[in-house]
Amino acid sequence: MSAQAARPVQVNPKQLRKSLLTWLLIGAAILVISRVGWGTIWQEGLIRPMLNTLLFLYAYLGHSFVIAIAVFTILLRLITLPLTIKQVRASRKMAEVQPKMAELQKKYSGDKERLVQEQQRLYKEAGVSPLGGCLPTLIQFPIWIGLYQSINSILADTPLELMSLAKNVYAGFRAIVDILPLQSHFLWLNLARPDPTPFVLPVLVAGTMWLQQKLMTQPATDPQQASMNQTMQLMMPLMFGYFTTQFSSGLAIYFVISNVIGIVMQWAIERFEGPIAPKAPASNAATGIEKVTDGKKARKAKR
Amino acid sequence: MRIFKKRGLVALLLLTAITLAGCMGGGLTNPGWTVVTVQEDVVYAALSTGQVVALDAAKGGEVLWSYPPASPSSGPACAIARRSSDSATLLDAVYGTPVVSDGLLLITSFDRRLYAFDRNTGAKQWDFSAEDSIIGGVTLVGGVAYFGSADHRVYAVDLATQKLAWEAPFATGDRVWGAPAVDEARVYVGSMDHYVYALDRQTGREIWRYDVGCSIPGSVTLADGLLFVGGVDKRLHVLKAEDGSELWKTGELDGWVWGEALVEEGYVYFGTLGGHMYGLRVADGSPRWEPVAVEGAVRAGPVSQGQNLIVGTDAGRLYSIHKETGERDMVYDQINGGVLSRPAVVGDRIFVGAASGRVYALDVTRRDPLLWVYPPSSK
Repeated sequence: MSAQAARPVQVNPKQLRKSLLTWLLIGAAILVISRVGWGTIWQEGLIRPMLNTLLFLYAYLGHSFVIAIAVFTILLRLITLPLTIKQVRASRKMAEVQPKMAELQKKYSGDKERLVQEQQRLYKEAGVSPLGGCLPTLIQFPIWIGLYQSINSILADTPLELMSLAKNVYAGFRAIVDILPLQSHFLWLNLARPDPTPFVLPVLVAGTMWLQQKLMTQPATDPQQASMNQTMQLMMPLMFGYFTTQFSSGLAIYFVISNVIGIVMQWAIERFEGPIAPKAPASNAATGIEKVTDGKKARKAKR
Repeated sequence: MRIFKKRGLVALLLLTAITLAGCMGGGLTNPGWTVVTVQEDVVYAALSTGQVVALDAAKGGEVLWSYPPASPSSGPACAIARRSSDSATLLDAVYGTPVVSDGLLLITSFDRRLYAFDRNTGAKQWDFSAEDSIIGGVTLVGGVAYFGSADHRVYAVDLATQKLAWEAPFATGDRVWGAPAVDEARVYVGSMDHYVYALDRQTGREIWRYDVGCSIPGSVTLADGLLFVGGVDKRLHVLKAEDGSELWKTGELDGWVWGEALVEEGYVYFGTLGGHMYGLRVADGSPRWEPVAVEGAVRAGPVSQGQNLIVGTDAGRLYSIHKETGERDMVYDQINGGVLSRPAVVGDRIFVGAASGRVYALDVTRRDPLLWVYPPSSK
């Protein structure tokens, strides 16, 4: 306790700059939101760009809405690629520190406060943020909702949706006159409505999502964490399978393509980075922690 | 402890699923807009909540009958209610103006059906099913109801037999969302496939078709041997009903022309989704007055009230525009929800259906024009 208190406070200038920049950005965001309003930001920042991009792709890629959705999904995946890589790496690092985490839990089972401190230190030294992996998933939510609204407006099954399309098309996008009404049929599907079968797309969405999650989720040594992972792996695909029975099949196609790309990306990253090298607990004098390296470095070291 | 956490997570995911499914904007429900018509001081309205009502215009909107008889449960905004236990009786979305004839009230619905109700009791008499949703209203001529459907077809249903009056419905290339215009010999209709069609009224066979170059989301207007057709190309096209040749078309306006045009004494009046009203000379398309700006999109066409045009907007405003001068007056600006359907006018009174599911009765001669609202405001 006394040793802890006597430790001098060290200010890392790089970290300070980062913190200041973060707060500055948060402040600017609050200012913009209060001035412009959420509705306008949502409409102008997400819906209209998405909707017009989809229309543009439809107009210039053979008048096929499925191709437009596929290309759009690839573009979105490319844009969010840095975040995805970050998420995968964070997940791998989390898996790497699991043995050490288990040791800390055993060592400080009677001292919760110390355990938390040591866990935080472990995360910091390993360069892992327990919440860092959530960002790409959080970003996906507005994309899903925005895409859902955009697809409904573009394929306009009801007059209200057509009105929404009329309001959201950019004034300069003159091709709209020629491409309306969009070809909304693909195989047995009306892309504006749920799959009529109604199991093919829900099973595809749930199946691809399950596989993607299975590949992404790193094994956890903590039984509680493992149980949570297992639940999530099952519930999320089921939930999205259910969504698919309710929402336009165009959105379901986005989910399937996005999941398949996710699976391929996961596979590619695994191939590039190599297998996870879990760190065995070391006998560091103070905390039992040593610098955690990523899989690639571990593989080189092994060689 | 662990089991509780697991159950909590499962519950949270299920709650998220149900909330998103219910509120993401249309997965389980399909709100229409409230449509009204008036006959012998009775206001017939199909509300956006799926209920059909007959209201006594003179008695403060007293309910004469409603279909289904019980009031629908008022649920949360993401009305899953339409698929609740009431779902067997509530109508799906209604967009077309109801028509009253020979003791019947005819209403088209998104649920593919043309409904016929007893106009005095509200009892459902019969229904006729198309193969896809019906967006536009019906046009009734000589005991035959003409309407288009999202199944790309135009139907003619004999009210006496409740069967097709033609050998088969006429097939266009895409959805037909507007009500047809009908004269003694022909049926005229616009389709999303860019064409205006003229059909033989007796047989349903095609007489001519004309490509206006864009989708036609609304109804065509027939007057003085001419057809007035609005399109998503932001223009009004004027065709000769005889052969479909184009007489003239406007330049590109500020928004799609979706609502019906009103033709009177050599002038045509119409609005745009861009929020302007136009008055043009039928003979050559020259403007009667400068375009009149209104707040909100004009989805439905104007109606005539003496020297004025009455028009509503999706911003919940109701305007009066002088036919000769284009001078604009606000009739009422506190309509809850947009005005997306055509108002009905009887003398000085105007009856308006709002997207919120309410019917407003207004009197333009009063300082406070509001006569009554149905359902009554909680205020």
